[in-house]
Amino acid sequence: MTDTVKEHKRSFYRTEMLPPKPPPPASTGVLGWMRENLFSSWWHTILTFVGLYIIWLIVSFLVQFAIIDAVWSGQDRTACLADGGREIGACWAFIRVWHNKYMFGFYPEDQQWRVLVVYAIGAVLLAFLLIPRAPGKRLVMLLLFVIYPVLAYILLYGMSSLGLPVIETTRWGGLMLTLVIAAVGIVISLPLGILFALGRRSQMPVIRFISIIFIEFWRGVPLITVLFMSSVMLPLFLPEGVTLDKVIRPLVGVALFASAYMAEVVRGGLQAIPKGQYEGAQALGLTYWQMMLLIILPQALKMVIPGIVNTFIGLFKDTSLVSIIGLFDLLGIAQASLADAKWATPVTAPTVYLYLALVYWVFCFGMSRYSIFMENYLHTGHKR
Amino acid sequence: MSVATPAVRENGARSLRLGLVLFFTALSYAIFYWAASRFYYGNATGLLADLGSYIGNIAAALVDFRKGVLGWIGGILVALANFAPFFALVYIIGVGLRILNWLLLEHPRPASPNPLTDRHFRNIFFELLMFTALAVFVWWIVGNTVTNLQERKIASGFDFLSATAGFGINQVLFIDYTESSSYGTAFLVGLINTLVLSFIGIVLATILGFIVGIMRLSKNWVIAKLAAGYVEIFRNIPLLLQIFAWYNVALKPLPHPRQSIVLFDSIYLNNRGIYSPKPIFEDGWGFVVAAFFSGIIASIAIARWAKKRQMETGQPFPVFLTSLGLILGLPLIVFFLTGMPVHFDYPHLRGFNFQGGMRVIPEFTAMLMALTIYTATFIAEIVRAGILAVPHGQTEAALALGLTRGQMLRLVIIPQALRVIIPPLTSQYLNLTKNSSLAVAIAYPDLVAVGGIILNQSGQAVEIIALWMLVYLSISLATSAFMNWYNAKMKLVER
Repeated sequence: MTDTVKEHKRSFYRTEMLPPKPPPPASTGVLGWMRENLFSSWWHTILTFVGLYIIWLIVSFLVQFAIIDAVWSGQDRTACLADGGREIGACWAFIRVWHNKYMFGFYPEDQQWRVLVVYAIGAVLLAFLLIPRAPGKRLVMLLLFVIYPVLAYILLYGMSSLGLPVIETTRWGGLMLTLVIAAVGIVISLPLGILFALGRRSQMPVIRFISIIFIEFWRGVPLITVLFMSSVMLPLFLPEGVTLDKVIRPLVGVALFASAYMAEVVRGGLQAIPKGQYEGAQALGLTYWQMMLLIILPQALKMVIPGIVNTFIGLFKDTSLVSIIGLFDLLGIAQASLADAKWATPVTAPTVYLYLALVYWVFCFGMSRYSIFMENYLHTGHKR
Repeated sequence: MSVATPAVRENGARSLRLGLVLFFTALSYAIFYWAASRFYYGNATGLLADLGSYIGNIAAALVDFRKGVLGWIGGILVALANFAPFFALVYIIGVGLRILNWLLLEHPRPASPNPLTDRHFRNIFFELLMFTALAVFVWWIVGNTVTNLQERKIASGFDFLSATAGFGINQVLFIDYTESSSYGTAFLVGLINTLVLSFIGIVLATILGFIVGIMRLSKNWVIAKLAAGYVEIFRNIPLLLQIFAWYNVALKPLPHPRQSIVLFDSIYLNNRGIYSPKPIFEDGWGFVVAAFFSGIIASIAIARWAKKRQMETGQPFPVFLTSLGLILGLPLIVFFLTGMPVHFDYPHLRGFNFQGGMRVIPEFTAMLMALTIYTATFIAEIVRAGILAVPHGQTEAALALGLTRGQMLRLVIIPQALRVIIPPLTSQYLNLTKNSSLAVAIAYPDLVAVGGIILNQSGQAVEIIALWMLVYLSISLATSAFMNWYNAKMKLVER
């Protein structure tokens, strides 16, 4: 008996319980999250602090420049000049003076309500179109793509018989012109792009050939050369005596350019539709256009909505190029405003660019968020 | 009274269809001829005479081997540039080929008694209609253009390229250019500047894009968000605005040459550009270059041998380190052995400006910054998507095989991710090259900016724009040819 006890004591395993270990570090809650995502190793800890420092540098600089040191009101450059040792940040006073021009160009101030009415109608129609659950999609499409452009043209350009004085396009400018170019580009490029996408997948060799040449040509050249072409060569193409409005010329170029990109996006959607859908439609005895309009395109377009929105974003950013050929879109008029000798200060240019970046960014970021939202919304069927 | 059998009716329908097709073909040719005479030649026989002499010239160029291959190609190029008869030939041969194709493939098919409901007839009719309408439209445009050019007394043709340019260009690389050089040389300078800017931009954007793309996938929250913020901000601001901002905010306010910012005692930053020492190569430098290239060739050979050996015996070989030693070490040794055959030309202030050294103009820096930062956001997204596209099972399988993390990335993840990454990456490279044309906005002398000056001076709008389009289209087509080759090579081999 004693022997076994002795033997027991000499054994290698423990005879009494260990004290309990401390609990493992929390993997939930704020602390756990931080440990997981910020301080998982010494290397990541360093990275975290370097990253935080960079963010701090940028944010503090921006806050200092755009808010704390900013000049909010003033009549001329003296307001935004550093005197008495005060550090001068953004010169928002300058933006305030020029803001009307930035928004409407040289559109007469007493007629600007017309632009606002066009905006408002467009916003309401767009909202109906973009909110997936809103009713009456077909009616809204008709209104937006057929009636609205006519209405907008009458309101913006004017019609004396209706009591709206004519405003020449040379006086259009600013954000308004940017939006007009982008909107016309979108409204033309979508149907044209669909046509060329169908043409590229057509059974008819000549149609396919023409479509391929068209698409590859516009996709292969930079937009700026297209704009030069439309502003220099388009007048040469037309018979003598026919002149084309200075705003219409780049519109033609932008619309054709965007159509080619749109065609490639739509073609992606068409290729993704299973062959059975085509065969099923043909077996039902549908004609080509019935098959396309009722069966194929609704599915294909739905599938490529993100791509279409991305093309729109690109188009919106590209409208800024018209400033190079002498149009006063938002960027063009802002560049022109920098030459205002009354406001020549070192901070004018940074302020203007910051402001422009903000405006463009809001539009583009909004569109990209919408495209992500639609992607998720439409993707539910395939998601597990 | 005989009753037509189905076969007879069928034959009748097919003859009717054939007759209609031939009739509309003839009609198309007639309309084309009418449009050419009406809009372009102005008389009834112009097209025929032009075509006759054109075909004669091409035939003469084809049989004329005396000038050698270059003269032969030149003759054909001249023939191609002669637009009107070339276009007429394309139309005539195009319609002819299509009708031949129709006769062989679609004519034998059964016909419907009513041509309006016959698919094969409707197709060919619609094609003829579209093609002819397009051709008439082209004649109309070309005719208008020719009339307008005559009105403005502008002689068309590319002869102006040999005229004296008379303007200076502030960045001339690789070739000689002075104000007395020709327009053609100026155009070439612009092309070189475009290519140099695009090439450096592509390299930098790729590096930055890969870093940011991988940062966005980091499990470190701050780093991932920093990268995401960078992408979301710079992707959504127009490139032109970014170019203006870099140029007018970051580079223009730099001090005058006399108050230059000095880095490392030899690099000077000012509003005229960045001045750095310029290496001057002496005799013997050729040996260093030769050593460098032989290092590269030797590395390729060693890599092949090592791969073969590993396939056969499983023995790995440190290819990377050996190659590094050969490519960098060998030239370095030769460099010291030949007595360091290089010295530097330092920039020095003389009067109000710097002399000597190497100068990078601020326009170039601004373009490079904007293009790199803008394009890198897109590349980052492509890289991220590519890495995410590799299934997680691949990672797990690689780790289960006992590969180290580095081996896993190098041998398993990256090759598969590249298959997804490369096609959109190439299209971004193409975008960057095309976007470099925005240089015209800040007067960096690229193809478009130089072309614009020539256009304003000479008024040869059609020719200049045609040259631009030709250059950019060639770059695009060459890139897509490369893409097709690459896709075919990298395609997953399936059963």
